[in-house]
Amino acid sequence: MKLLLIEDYDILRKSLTQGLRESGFSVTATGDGEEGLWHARSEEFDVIVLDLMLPGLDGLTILDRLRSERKTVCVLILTAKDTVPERVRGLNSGADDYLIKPFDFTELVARVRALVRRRYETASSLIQVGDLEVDTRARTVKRAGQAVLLTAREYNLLEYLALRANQVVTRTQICEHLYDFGSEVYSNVVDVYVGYLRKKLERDGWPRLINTRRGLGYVLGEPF
Amino acid sequence: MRSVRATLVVGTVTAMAVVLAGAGVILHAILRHDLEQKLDSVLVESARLLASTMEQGAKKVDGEFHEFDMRELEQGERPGYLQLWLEDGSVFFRSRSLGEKDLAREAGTIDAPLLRSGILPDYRPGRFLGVTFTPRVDRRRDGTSKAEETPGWKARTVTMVLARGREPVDEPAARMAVFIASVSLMAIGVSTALLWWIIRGSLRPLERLAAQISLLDEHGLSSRIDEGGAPKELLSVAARLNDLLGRLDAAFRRERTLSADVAHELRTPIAGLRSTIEVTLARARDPGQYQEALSDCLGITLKLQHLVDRILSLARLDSGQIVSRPERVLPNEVLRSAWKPYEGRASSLRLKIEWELMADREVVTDPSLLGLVLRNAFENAVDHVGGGGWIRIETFEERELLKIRVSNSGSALTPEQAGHVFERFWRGDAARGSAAHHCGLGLALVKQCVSVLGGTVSASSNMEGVFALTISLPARAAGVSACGVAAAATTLYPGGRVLGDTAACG
Repeated sequence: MKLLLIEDYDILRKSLTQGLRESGFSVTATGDGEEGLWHARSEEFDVIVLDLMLPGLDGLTILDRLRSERKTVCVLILTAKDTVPERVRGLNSGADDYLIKPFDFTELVARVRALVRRRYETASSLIQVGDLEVDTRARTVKRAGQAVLLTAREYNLLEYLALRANQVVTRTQICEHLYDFGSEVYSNVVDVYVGYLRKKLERDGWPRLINTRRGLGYVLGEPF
Repeated sequence: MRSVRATLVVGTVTAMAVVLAGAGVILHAILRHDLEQKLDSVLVESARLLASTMEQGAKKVDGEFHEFDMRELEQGERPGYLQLWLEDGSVFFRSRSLGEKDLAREAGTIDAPLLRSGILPDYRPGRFLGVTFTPRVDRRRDGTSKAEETPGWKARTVTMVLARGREPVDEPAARMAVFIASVSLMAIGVSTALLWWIIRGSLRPLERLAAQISLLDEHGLSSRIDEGGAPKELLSVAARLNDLLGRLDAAFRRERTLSADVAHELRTPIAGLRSTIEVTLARARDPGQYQEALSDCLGITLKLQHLVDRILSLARLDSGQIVSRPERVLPNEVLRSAWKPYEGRASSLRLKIEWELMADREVVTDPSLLGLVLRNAFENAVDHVGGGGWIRIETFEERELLKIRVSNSGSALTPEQAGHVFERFWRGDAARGSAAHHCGLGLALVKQCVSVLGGTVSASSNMEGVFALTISLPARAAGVSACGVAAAATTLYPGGRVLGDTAACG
């Protein structure tokens, strides 16, 4: 999941970047409003975590501009402004969620995940593709009712594919949206991990789940 | 607790009662005196009539009392009394009402009869008239008198005492006293009720004012007392109260805003601290990562400490706990010492520092407060100027004031916004400088400290992006003239030059 973090407090930005990456997100972080808007315009993100008081350009202006450009990216405002009018103003400006500092890091991760699900129109934390079940809250996977043990990298890749089930996902998209693969666009690491997933998910004569579309990418389930 | 209404009513009614009582007593006394005069004149007339009916011959004195209306001297419910004596003390006449009793033989002359009050023989209060006179001499038609022709004849004198009851005086006087007292009591009663009603009506605006005041609390200070319909005596009170409410409201608002601002400023660093700790503890890490996280936490803690120190300093300055302890100070030394902590950052930011100091001369001020002012002014300049910019530090004298100006080339403020820089937690706009370095308290602290030092501070920003902070302090030289000290000065700061009044002083 690709995430843009715009927060000007250096140490907070640093710890959030680290924590979100360790939670499986691909994070682009900046402390400047102008730069943040540039990132949001030039790349596609699943979620933007946005501070309001920023140097260069304030958070609400960034949000207004993105919405006026019909950018549908989910935005979570992360701010010290805690009054009801400020929250209402933020949500009315087009924010999808609002979290007040200081916050529990796990709550931030949970809210970001909820926004990701919303983005992929999956209301439940349970994604079902055929006989495959991915529980995004517990980060567990079952196939034909049997638990399948995955590493963090394997799970992140599978969750990303599952959120886009029945759609072709390119290697570039995988690399951009998953931090674990971010620097390895030109290597075959994605193919290797798809191989690991196949080995675990297509054992015991289970039918093929991850299909390769030559020259395009991969599809979890059957493409439309 | 005494009420104003009761005090006013009791006071007014008491005053009225005293006035009415006094007036009643005087009126009664005048009436009584008039009645007494009337009674006395009746007695005098009666006595003269009686005396005129008496005559004396050569041997005896006769009285023709039948001409006198003796009805009142008869025995009755309220008889009068008459007794006459000859000059030898023998009783010449005694009215029947006296029986065998005697009246006191006290008398004046016919021209000045003795009038007195006393107790009548029947124990009624009475009025007595005593007169000694010489009855007229019995004469013939030719005017001669047998008595006067009688050798050795001597005119005889008669003493008459006439007494009547005082009823014609006392009864009307008593009736008048009752009347005056009744009218007075009625007047007091009516006045009391009327006063109570009028005062209650007059005090109603005061009660309304009290009711309005009772509705006020620290949450409702924005409401004001309605001055409409208030009497003019209360208008000024309501206006003063509204002024006071306005000031209180502003103070409470400031306090609430300050509390909210403090909480807001603390949220972000606390979020950083919490997030760093939570992320670090989320999994087992190597010692280097723990060390880095702890180092980040220390950085945040130091910034929090800086913020808390400033808030505390402002609170102490506000409450008057910090006072100026003036001593003889060389301002340039304080400037140099205050700049030292920023030399490293200025160097790393490649800042151009311009010193334009006049020759050092003693002023009387608090060096630690001045140092605090300067450190905050320098920190503000270094934080805002941006890499490659310049900071100019100047001192000069103007109208007996020592002026210290710290300007920099990094202003993002409009000239109008510059006036706000001394407001606590104020930042140019939502898109602020850097959350990591500024909490918006440094210049507020500068203003408070300069005020304690007895000076003033102003800020300006021009369209060329130059922000200037000018501190004016009383330049009380310790017995040395400014010209003398400036002319003798030789010490310059590195890169600095002597400017200001030296040339003008010659």
